[in-house]
Amino acid sequence: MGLTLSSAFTRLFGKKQMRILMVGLDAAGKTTILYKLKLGEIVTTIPTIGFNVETVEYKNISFTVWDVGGQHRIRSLWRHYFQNTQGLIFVVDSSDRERIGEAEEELNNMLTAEELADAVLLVFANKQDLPNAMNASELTDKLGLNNIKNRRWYIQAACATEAHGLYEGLDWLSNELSKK
Amino acid sequence: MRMTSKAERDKQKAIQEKCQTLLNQMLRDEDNKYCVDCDAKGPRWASWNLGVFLCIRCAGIHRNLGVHISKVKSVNLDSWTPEQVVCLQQMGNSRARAVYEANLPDGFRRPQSDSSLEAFVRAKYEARKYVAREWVPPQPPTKVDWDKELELEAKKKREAKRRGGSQSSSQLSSSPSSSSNMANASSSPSSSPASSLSSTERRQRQTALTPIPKPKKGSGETAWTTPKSGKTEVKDKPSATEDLLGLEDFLIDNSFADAPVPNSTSGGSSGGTGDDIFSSFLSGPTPAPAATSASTSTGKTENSSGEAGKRTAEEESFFNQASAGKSQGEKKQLTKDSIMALYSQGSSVPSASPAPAFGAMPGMMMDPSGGMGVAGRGMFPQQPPQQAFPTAGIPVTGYGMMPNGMMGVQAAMPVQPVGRGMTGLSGGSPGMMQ
Repeated sequence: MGLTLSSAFTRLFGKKQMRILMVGLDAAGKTTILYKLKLGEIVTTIPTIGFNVETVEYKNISFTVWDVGGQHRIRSLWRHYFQNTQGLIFVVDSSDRERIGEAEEELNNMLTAEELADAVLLVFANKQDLPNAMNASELTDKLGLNNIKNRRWYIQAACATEAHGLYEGLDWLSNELSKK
Repeated sequence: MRMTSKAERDKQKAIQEKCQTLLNQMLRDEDNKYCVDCDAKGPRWASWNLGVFLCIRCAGIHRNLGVHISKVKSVNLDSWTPEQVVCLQQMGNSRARAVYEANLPDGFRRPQSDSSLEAFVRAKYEARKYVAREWVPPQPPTKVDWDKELELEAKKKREAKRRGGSQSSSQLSSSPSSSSNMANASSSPSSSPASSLSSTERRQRQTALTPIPKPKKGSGETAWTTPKSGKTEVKDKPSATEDLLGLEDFLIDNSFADAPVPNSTSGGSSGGTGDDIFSSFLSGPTPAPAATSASTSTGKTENSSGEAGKRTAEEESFFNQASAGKSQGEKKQLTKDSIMALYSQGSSVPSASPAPAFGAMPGMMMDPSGGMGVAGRGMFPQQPPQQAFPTAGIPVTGYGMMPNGMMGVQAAMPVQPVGRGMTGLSGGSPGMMQ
């Protein structure tokens, strides 16, 4: 179950660690989420080429969140971050109906990776504030989440700019972690 | 991308290549050499539904608008569909400025700070505050079908192979009608001559449409919209001559020869007139994407201003035209109308252009000293936007190589590690700008 030496160590001292990989199509809001969690404010972002990584302390858990660029041609790099990932955050732009199929494909592609077999999945249905945004149940359907087997998953409606839903998502992740 | 057979895969690949070729061609157009919103040099991003090329910073801002307003893609890091490419060809930065900045107040100076730039971009595209009211959006392309052309290209390729000739990508890009089709935004194969190049074609087309004095070199379509021709807006600014010409030289000297790009395979030998540059681009292989963006440094800029003396006759005549055209308002109008005519498509175009919205602008966007041109860029050679905002990401000094040969656009940015992700995991720093 991904029990590494360091997590055994931290278990003794009470503070848990969780390695999180945050991916999703470009412009889904990954970087904005990361820095909203880290700094509590909305930063002006530019498209991520490469990655950002931050540790976020929440509920006595130290989440190390990797935020990897989502442009089409750099998605092949995601897999290099899979190893030891305990939680996968997949961020979706809920208002981008045109590309929801593409998101579904990327998600389900990724879930076939063996390295992610033990990772739980949190989907952020981001940008709920935008016009015509799909709600969580519509996205559950469009992303085919109900077809996911052998994996714990959760979808959380969110609006990163208002910080809506972000901590609810982390709550779920921390619950999952404590189950392990 | 759902792919089934190998043939299908090959076709997808060919389409991708073609999209990339056309995009790179567009980026070489004088039209698109500067970010449509902030004038930063060498945009590598685009909003395909708006039809504009952007710097990475403005790309970030556009993404904040939401996809119902702007759909942002990276020229190099994203995959494109033919329809998206056609959208960009239908518009382009010059036309987009004519459309979305038709009612920009006189003396408007492009904001450069993050917050004011975002306010401007929102005003421009979200509130459509400056849009030309008479503008009729073009029909978005329904389905672009490149089957015939691609087949032709593939056939040529095969034949060449049979003959033992080595194939280069440039051959592919210059095959018959590869771009003419796009320029017309139609799906039927066109009868244009072989080795047609959309950029040239577009230039000619636009030249025919805009009866304004313009430089021989560069497309200079609408004098007041391209950064270069911000010059035409300059009034009573004695130093304009030198600055402008300095900029020209700066463009020439810097963008190609001095760009410290590890693998700038193309254009390295250019120099002299713009025409030379252009032709070297045309004949060269598809250049490394980085080759068009240059690094800037204050010193360089100043240097090149000093070199104004070596301007060519062409430049000279251009300048004379520009400065002679004092009646800028008139010219502007002409330009706008003729461009608008492109979009009216049958519906009558009101010839009276709406009055500029003076006073309606947020203070920060107003030029305090007044009398500055629209583009502004040419007038501040000593302080190009890139200098003022080192993190803007456009002129870059180094290019991160992605594993598959892609170029990371802003490797040199202090804030965003590029292409390091696979090996070392040292400090991912924020992808924010300040």
